[in-house]
Amino acid sequence: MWAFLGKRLLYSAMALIGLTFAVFVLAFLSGSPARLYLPEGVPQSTIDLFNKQHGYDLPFYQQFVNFMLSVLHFDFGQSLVDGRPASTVILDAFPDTIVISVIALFISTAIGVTLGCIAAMKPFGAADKTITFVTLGAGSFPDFWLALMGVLFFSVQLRILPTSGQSGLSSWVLPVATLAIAPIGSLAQVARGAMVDSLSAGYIQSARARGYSKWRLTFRHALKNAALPIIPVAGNQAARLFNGTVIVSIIFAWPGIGAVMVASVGNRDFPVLQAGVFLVGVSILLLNLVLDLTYSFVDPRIRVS
Amino acid sequence: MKNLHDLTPGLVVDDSTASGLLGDPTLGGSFDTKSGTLKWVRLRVLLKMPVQLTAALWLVSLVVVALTIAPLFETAANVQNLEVRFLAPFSLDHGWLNVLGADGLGRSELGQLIVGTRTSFLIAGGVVVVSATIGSAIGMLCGYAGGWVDASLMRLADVIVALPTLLLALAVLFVLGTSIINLVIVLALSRLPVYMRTAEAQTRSLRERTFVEASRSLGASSRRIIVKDIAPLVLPTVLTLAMLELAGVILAAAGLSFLGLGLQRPDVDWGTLVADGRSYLTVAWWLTVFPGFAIALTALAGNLLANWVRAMGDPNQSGRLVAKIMPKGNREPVDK
Amino acid sequence: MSLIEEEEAAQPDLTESPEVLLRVENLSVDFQSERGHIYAVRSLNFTLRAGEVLAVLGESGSGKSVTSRALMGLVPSPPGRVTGSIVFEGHEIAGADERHLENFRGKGIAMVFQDSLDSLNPVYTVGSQLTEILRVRAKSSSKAAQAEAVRLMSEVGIPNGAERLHDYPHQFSGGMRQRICIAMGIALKPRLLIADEPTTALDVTVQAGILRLLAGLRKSARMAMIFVTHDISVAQLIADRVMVMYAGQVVEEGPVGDLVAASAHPYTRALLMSQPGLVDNWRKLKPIGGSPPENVRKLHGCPFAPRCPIAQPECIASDPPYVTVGQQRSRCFFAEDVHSGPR
Repeated sequence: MWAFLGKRLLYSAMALIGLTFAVFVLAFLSGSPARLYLPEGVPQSTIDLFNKQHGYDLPFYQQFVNFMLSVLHFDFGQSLVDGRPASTVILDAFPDTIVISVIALFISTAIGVTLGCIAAMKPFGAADKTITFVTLGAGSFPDFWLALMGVLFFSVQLRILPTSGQSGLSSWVLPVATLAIAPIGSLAQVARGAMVDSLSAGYIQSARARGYSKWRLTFRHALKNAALPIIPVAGNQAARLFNGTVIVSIIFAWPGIGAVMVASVGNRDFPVLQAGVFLVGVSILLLNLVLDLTYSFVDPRIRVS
Repeated sequence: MKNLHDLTPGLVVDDSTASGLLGDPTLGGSFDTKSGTLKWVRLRVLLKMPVQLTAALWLVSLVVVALTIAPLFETAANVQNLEVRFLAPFSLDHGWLNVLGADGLGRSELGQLIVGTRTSFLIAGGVVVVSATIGSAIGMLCGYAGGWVDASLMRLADVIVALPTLLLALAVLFVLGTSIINLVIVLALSRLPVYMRTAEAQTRSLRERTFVEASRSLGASSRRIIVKDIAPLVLPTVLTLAMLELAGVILAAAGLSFLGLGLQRPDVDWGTLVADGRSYLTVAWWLTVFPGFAIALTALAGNLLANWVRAMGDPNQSGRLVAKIMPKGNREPVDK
Repeated sequence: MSLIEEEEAAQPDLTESPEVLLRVENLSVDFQSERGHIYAVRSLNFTLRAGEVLAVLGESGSGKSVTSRALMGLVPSPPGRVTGSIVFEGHEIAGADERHLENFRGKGIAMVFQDSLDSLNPVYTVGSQLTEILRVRAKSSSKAAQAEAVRLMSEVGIPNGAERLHDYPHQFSGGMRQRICIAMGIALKPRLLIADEPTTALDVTVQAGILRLLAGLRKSARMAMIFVTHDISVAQLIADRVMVMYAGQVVEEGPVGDLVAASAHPYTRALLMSQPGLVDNWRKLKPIGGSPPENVRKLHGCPFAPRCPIAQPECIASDPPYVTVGQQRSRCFFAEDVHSGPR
């Protein structure tokens, strides 16, 4: 098992360096990074001075090394809007995003996996067809549209939920629902697939031959095995949840990294954008690593060998 | 005991033994082919499943619309007619073109939807083609080369996956500016890992197969082996994947357009229509509902079909599915 | 001396009750798949008495495994279709709904499968799987179930049973795992145990241990057994009667001794001649030419005819009759001749 862990850590480290490089290169994609920091129409002399001050005239690899060093110090420069360290701007916004993401993930996993199990109990039966159709539908509707429809229906027509802002329990309903719906679709699908596989395994046949009920076979015997492939998928939802939080930020004026990122684009605030891309990327890489480790601990075949 | 094929393994009949012994060539025939070859069986199953069939027809008709009649609606979509500003849908008083209503400038909603179909599909098609080609090429190279090359290049996939699409798009489009080309590039980049990983995994397992060994022993170059031996087997998987991806790409492109990162007027796709309609959500609901519906139905159709293809390809499920769907007349009376 | 005879000598002879435990009539199983129609089992008839051991003998594709699944109601019903009658202790099983089947599974009829690793849930300990049977199906308390589980482990010959209950299936050897599967099979004291090739995946040395265990259980638990196998020497060791299957049909059945000494069907003879353990001179060893058929639409004539050394035109044209010859019954036009032929 340690060999497996070591390899996994190495891969994560490599991906991390790759991410750093990608973020570093971001500034150079359009040519001169100076243009990203300075306002339009500045004379070339200012640009040259800027380049000299920030080391943009150094050889490429050296710039990369400098960049990596500053990243290690969490230094992405200052926000062009208010001068605060870019990393602080991003890190301040993290907790809001994490809270709503975790809630949404929890809800969508619970609902999605249960639906998937029920669907798998009788493949192509009535329950399966309904659940599959509904969950596929859930994954097909664009989240921004669902959010708008939710606002239209619940806020405008029924007036039971607020249209935006973080203002009390009822204001959480639409944002969380928006975030949770698409993952429910994916998780239900994956859970169904994993459960169908698990239910067709030999040990289910043997258990069936002992006279256990379908419910026991599904929820006690098969589920624990199917849980294994579901774990990584739940983790994959992290990236998608982030996308969702951007939408939620825009439509519901919800605080979080999504809002910060969109604002940074509007304000041409490159340091904050760069810091955001890096920190979100790192979080997701770390999350996947943790999930991989969890997976290997949960599977007794890997743990006790 | 895992699946149907374990229960009743089909064994090849030794034709020569049978016919040689008794001179009767009809002995030791092959499988009961009353149901026909595999491909046609699958098509027949599809024809009997109304939901999936509708999905397939919807997608096909959209493609047809996109390729043929959409250009005819260009003018209709852009003509401003202030007389019909915010016209509500479902009335034919102002002509069938305005049956789905009109927007703030009097432009026909139906017309814009049709033009948007073309744009959405062209973009999605472009993204899928680019990402599938490049992704599977890299994947095959990685899978075949193995070792350090494989390990390092696949980290690229890890990095891309760690970056949510919107984040990637925000970053790249911020720096490069918004345009159709950049949009396609960003989306294609974000879909790359799927093809990379699939092609890599498949190539890695194919690499050890006998027919590849045979080619190698005949002195074929690596490039030749990849192109002639491995690619033809990876291709169907990639094609299936590409089909499954189409729905996802349409959704992602719509999302970007909604955020204003995708197309700009006069280019129109379903996402921009929803964005436009958002400002008038309370007064003109049809401006958001119809484009959103179009996106949703198309993505749903894609997902339904993808699901069906997956089920048919999985030996655990296809047997049950075919048996439920196929006519009972396929069964022969059992002999005493 | 066969294992059965050894065990009989070692244990008190309990009175054999001649009651009929299982009566199978006209059992047929066919499958619908993407690739066509498969007739796995065709018009099977047999009876089994309490305490009797029946070996179902055949190659891959003969329908022997499907038969055992059908007896438990484990044939997946959309692709598969089971017709005919299976009466166990007076109750009709074929076509019974799932809830009725659940009642007698494990308690009336239990099953042990070929792949012991695949038969055990990898994420639960052996102990929890064993006690679950007792708690759920026999309504035992946790304590009683635990004690019984330890007893079962020793009954099937696993040392340190109490400690090993905490281990996971992958931590046992193949032979040990199969013993555990057998323990689970007998936990509810079924009247019939179906063993589907339980020793095929095991080393020959380990096989003997498992067979000995099963033979002993048969006597001590007064349990009937249906032993599915492709190995006629195993059948010889453990069975009272043998039923030879080919292409979904029974081609010969009878007491094991008579069947081996003077078989009445060319296929049985061929099987005997091709098994190293039963031929005294390797020069006489003859593999059977050709391969078994896919279960084809063609349902007339003798299925073995294409590979049969004594086949005649009528073997292809019409169905051979099921005749009684000596102690056996055989489905062959020439059963008498085969029966009285040279050993």
